[in-house]
Parts: sequence; C-alpha cells; structure tokens
Amino acid sequence: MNFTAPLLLTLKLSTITTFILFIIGVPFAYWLAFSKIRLKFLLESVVALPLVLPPTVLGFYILMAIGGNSFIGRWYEAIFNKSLAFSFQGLVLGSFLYSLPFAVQPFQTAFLGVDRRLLETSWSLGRSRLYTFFHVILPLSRQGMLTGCVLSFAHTLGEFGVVLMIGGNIPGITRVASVSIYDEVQSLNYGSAYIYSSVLLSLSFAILTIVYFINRRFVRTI
Amino acid sequence: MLNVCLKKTWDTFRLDVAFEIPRGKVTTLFGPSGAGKSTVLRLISGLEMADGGMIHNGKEIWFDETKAIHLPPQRRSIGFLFQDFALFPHLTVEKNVAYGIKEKKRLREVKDLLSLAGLSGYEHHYPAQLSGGQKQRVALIRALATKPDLLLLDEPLSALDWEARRQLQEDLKRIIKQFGITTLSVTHEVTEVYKLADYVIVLESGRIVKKGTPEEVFLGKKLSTRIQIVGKVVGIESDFIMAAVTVMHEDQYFKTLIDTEEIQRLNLKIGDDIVIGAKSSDVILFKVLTKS
Repeated sequence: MNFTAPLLLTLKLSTITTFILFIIGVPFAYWLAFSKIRLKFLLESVVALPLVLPPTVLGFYILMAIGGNSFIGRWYEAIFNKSLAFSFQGLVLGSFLYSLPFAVQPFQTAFLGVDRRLLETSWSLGRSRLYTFFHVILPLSRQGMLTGCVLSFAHTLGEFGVVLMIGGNIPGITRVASVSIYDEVQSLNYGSAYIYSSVLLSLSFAILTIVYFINRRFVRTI
Repeated sequence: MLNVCLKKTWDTFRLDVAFEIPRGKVTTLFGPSGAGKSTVLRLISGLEMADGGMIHNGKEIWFDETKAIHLPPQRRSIGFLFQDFALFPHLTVEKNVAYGIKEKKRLREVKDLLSLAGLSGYEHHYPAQLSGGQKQRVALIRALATKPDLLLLDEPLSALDWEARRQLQEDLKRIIKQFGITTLSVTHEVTEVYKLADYVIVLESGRIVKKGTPEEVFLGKKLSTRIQIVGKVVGIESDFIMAAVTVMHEDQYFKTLIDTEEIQRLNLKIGDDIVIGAKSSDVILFKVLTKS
C-alpha cells in the first residue's frame, strides 16, 4: 500500500491538473490566439516562463504566494480552515502553473492553424464566434488539443522541483513518485528507486508513443 | 438596391469607390489583380472595416462611418463564396450545406439544394473526396442555403482548370438566375464577365474607371487602354472563330479562343463583321520584313 500510494497520488495529481488545464487552458489559449490587444506578448512570456525557469524558482514564488503569510494563503485558510501550502490542493495549483505552457501553447498553435477562411465562412453564414469555436475551431484542433493534454499529463507526472518546494514530502498527501525516488535514493533503497523510476519511465514512454502514433494517423487522414 | 461607398487607405494604396448593386442582378467587379476588388468584397461582407463611407442594403444600414455603425458579418445577410471554396473539411457535404441553416424545419431543403447542384448521392462524402467543380458547387449552395440578401463571389472559378471552368460557369449562372439573388462577383477575366455579369464595374488602382453593361464597357468607344481590330468572320470551328482582319490585311486570319457558346450568343455567321477587343498589353505587334 505504502509503495503504490506515491504512484497513485502522482496519477491523481496529473489527471486533475490536466483536467483543470483543459478547462482553463482552452478559453485562455483562444483568447491568446485571437485577441488583438497590444500587450499580449507580455502575457505570452509569462505563460512560457515555466519552460525556462528552474522549477525551484517557480516553486519558491508559488510557496511565497500561497504560504500562511500571503494574501492567498490567509484567504484560503479562512475559507477552508487549512493551509494551502503543503497540501494536495497546493500541489494542484503548482502543477497547473508549472504545466501551463505545455497545454496552452499547443492549444494556441492549433487554434491559429485553423484556416482563417473557414472562420470567415462560418461568420458569413451567420454563425457567432462561440458557435464557430465549437463547430469549426475545436474539431479541427483535435490533434493540438490531444498533444496539449498529453504533454501536460506527462509533464506533471515527472515534476519534482515545484512539488518538493510547495508540497514537501508528506506521505499520502504530497509525496508523489518523483519525490519518492529522491527519498529512496537518500535512504540508499536503490531497489525501490528502480521500481518507481521504471514505472515512470514506462508510463511516460507509453504516453508519448500513443501521442506520436495518433498524430501520425491524423496526418494520414488529412 | 444596395448602395456602397467605401474609403480605405493603407500605406501605399487608397481605395475610394462608390457604386450601386441592383437587386436580382449580377454585378461584376472587373480589374487587374491589386486593383482592390477582393478588398471591396471583404469590406461589404464586414470581414474588414472601411475608414469611411457607408453600405446601405435598402433601408438597412450595414456600415455607416458617420453614424458609427459597423454590423459584423453575422448580421449582414450575405453569402460569401471564397476563391478556394473554404469547405469545412471535417463535415460531410450535407452538413456543410446545412451549416448556416438555423431553423430545423428548413433542413429538409438541403436535399433539394443538393439535387439542384447535381450533387445528389454525395450527401455523406467529405470535401477531400470531391473534385474541384463539386467543391465549388457545394460552397455555392452552402452560401445560398441561408437565403442571403447578397451573394459575394471572389473569383469563383479561378481555382479550377479550364474544362471544369467552362462547365461551372454554366452551373453558376443557372443556379444564380434560379435563385434570382443579388450578386456581386469579382474577376479579372473578360470571359467570366460576359458569362455572368449583367453589370460591370471596372476597377483600377482602387478607383472605378468605368461602369455599365458588359457591352457598354468593353465595346464602347472609350477603350483607351485597349485596341480594336475590325474584321470579317471567315470560319467557325468548334471553339474558335477565324476572322479576316479587314483593317490590317485581307488574308491575315485571326484565331481566337472564344467558345461555341459565345459564337451562338452573338449568332455569328461567316461573312459577319466583327470587332475583336483585346487589352493592348496582351498584344505584340511585329513588322513583317519583305525582301526587296
């Protein structure tokens, strides 16, 4: 039980994070893709930051932002009567921010890749922007949507620095597989570290293989 | 009647046009590429906004700069046929045609539209499975399915090969006439103007240089940028006429690719006097050197 708990927690974290990224990332990516405001590039840079920032830096700032002394931390504690830092919810928030570019960028690229003529045709046929989004943009962005979701999932699966900074190493709550590997190696339990590592490796490999396979099929059907 | 007056300025280009689009007729914007023809269509459709002017569809105002009115394309009652047809690749022919139909009970009309366009049996095909000509017909009836006040055609035949073009000119004409829909089309080909247009507006560098029926525009006397050759028809073959050019030399035959339809339309017979108009830029003159 103790052995599988970090793996299950990792899967739970990845699934929830991917789901939230999908729900928030899709409208956000749409806005980034089609908004004409001038300062958009600033926001795009912020979204891309986790790609280049050391996870510990991101983790540190998130910890400062959600810690007991912060506005968000105090607000959360007042409502839910518990701390956001070092909790599973805190991990979800951290993972969300950390994997944001992995979801938003493929979504945005996919939306922009839809032939503009098709959007204009839809508008000229009397259909609203919302209708056009659901009936033209989304179906034609399937590949990018799938890529974004799977990359977010796989990326969350393997995150370490952010998780350690804001979640610590609490068994059953914040101790995910990647942290467990570090922990086991520190305790010289190489056997367990091997098993965790091989599970993560196989899972990541399987996920990426599926994505590339599906992408190839998409390309062929188009 | 649609009244159109549009002004728009880019860095190096200035569009300034005013014209009317009569109801139930086909009006064609004709001119070289870069004259601003497609831009006019985009401004009328609402896909782009003019700097100044107005577009009135009868009493309805689609655009009026002084009143700060700019209706989005969704509210303009237009059908827009793009050059490359822009069919939704993920939808079947049937769903493409039904895309703009909002009333459920009108969905039954899709079948009639498909048969009108000779596409019965293709309901469940995807655009990728269609020929260029079929795609164009799907795009046309899709644009007509919403019963728009104005049909906009942006070089509707340019993406097709010559053979398909000939066939489709006919289909296009037949379907447009059947619907009696007010149409504004864009082309840079004279034959297309003759095939489709009731009225022509000649556009050059963002300005209107001539308006009228195709005959008035192309055969009138003010053809400053064109040359005319006068001659007699000496032979008619399947797709060209031979004419003796009387003003140059009796024996020099003129072969021109005017399809049989055109010959029939003009009721040409051998011995008829004809005038052939050509753009001066398309004609090369040679001086014949004779041995002395």
